[in-house]
Amino acid sequence: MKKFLFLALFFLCAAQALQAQTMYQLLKYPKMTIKGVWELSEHDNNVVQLNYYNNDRCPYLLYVIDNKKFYTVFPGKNTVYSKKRSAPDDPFSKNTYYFYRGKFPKNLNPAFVYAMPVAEGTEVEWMIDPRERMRSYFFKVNYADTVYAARSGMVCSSDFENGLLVYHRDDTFGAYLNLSQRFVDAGSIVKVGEPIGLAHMGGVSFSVFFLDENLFHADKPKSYPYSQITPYFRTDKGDVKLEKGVKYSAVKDDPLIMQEMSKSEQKRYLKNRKK
Amino acid sequence: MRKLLLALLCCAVFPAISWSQVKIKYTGDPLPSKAMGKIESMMGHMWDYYSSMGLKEAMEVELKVFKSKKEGYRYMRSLYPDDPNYIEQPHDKTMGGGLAAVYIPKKKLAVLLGIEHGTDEALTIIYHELSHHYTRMLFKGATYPPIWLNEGLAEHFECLKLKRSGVVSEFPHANKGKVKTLIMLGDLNLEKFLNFTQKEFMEMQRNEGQTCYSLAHVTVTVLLENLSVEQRNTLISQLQKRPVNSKVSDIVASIYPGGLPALEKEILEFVSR
Repeated sequence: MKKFLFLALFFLCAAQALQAQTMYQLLKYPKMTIKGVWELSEHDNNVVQLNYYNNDRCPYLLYVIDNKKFYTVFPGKNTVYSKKRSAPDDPFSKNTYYFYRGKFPKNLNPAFVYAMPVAEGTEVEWMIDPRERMRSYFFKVNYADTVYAARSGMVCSSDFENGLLVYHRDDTFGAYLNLSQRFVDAGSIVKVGEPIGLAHMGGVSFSVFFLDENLFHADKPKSYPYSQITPYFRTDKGDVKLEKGVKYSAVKDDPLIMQEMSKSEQKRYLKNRKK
Repeated sequence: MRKLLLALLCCAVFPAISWSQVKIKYTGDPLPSKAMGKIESMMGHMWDYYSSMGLKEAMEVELKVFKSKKEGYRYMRSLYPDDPNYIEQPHDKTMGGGLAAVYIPKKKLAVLLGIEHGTDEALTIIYHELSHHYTRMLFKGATYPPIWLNEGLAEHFECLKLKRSGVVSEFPHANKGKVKTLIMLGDLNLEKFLNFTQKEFMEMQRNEGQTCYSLAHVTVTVLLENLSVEQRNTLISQLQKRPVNSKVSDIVASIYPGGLPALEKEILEFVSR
């Protein structure tokens, strides 16, 4: 009977609902992270500019409903609109705009290989995080085991203490949840394989996602416009998408560590490694 | 005279209903009469649609409506006390989620678990659940319908709107977007999806949100757009007759011109439109 019942289940707004509270909290940005101010142009007193100041180290997307345009708000000052002081209303006057973390990726590489966020050489069990779902990988490690960066990136601002949000070079995010302690603060650059915190009870959850342009519609703002990636991990069984019921050991070899390094960084890394 | 006029008016407003075939019993909290009219009109449209695919049996379905989700969940718990799906979760309130409705085939009962989001949204959910009823009737006595077909047809009817000019399909941009991303990430495995069991579909639902519903909707739409009526009916007939352990993907591939590669290509074209 249950089988038939399940057949008919229909989940309303599941994309939003299935996002558990922790991810939702991690994505919330602290107050005053983004500030919009109308200012006189430095070059022309007859021109006013709408400047957005992004106090985070990661970009945000400003979506203006009235003119159906997207603006990327990079860290620092961003002039998104200018007009003559005497000019009539502008698309920003109605306050129908939204901010989202991130920007649309231009060179997304779904085949990018990540390090497992656990110690090298230890075999770990994993499962889809029952609280987070949506392709969040929960690695079963002990309480206070060290958690390592799965990919290099910039730590973003967040008030959520039990997690870390890391912005990657290709405009994806790495979310580390269920941390008991964080070793790095917002604005820090983390390198793949670097210790970033300690696991909480049960283990640590990791997922990769990006702001997805395909989920936006002209006049419909989304509460969760992100898509998750099924990452490849470097393991003792090769570069794989994790298979259910299989245990894996993390492998963090030089090619993985050097994946996103410039040539000079690679040289330096190898030189230091020999020492 | 008045009654005659009213009868004539009903015929003019809901011309598609084959009254002898469509029966609906409303229970629970009352729906506005306008909404009931729309439901019956849509059922008439569904009847025309499903009967063209071979549905012959007279239909009877009960629609139980609960104004509040709380009451709806309480009712479902009285039927299935051990089922954790009917315990309201905190995110149901904060993020507008949770179960919206259920169709129970054995009881031929569709239960709407709350109409807090308004009548229009309730109607789309009702159309979705009623479609499950019709699909189950279509496959009565046969092998169960593939999950993607059942959910894809339900999504198809959910997105239909009754306009003065007739029934109009409003394909949600979000459904296309999700499938587009799935393809972009290289995660579309159509063969596997077509052979999904109930359990596998629900697992995808848990892990990927609405993507599996979106893919089911897109797949059914592309099939309906590109198959002739004869091919479509052959597909339904073969799915009805299939042995339990047979591969649904083989049946689809044998009927769809160009097989699965062509279907996949059409899906990509459809979501890119």
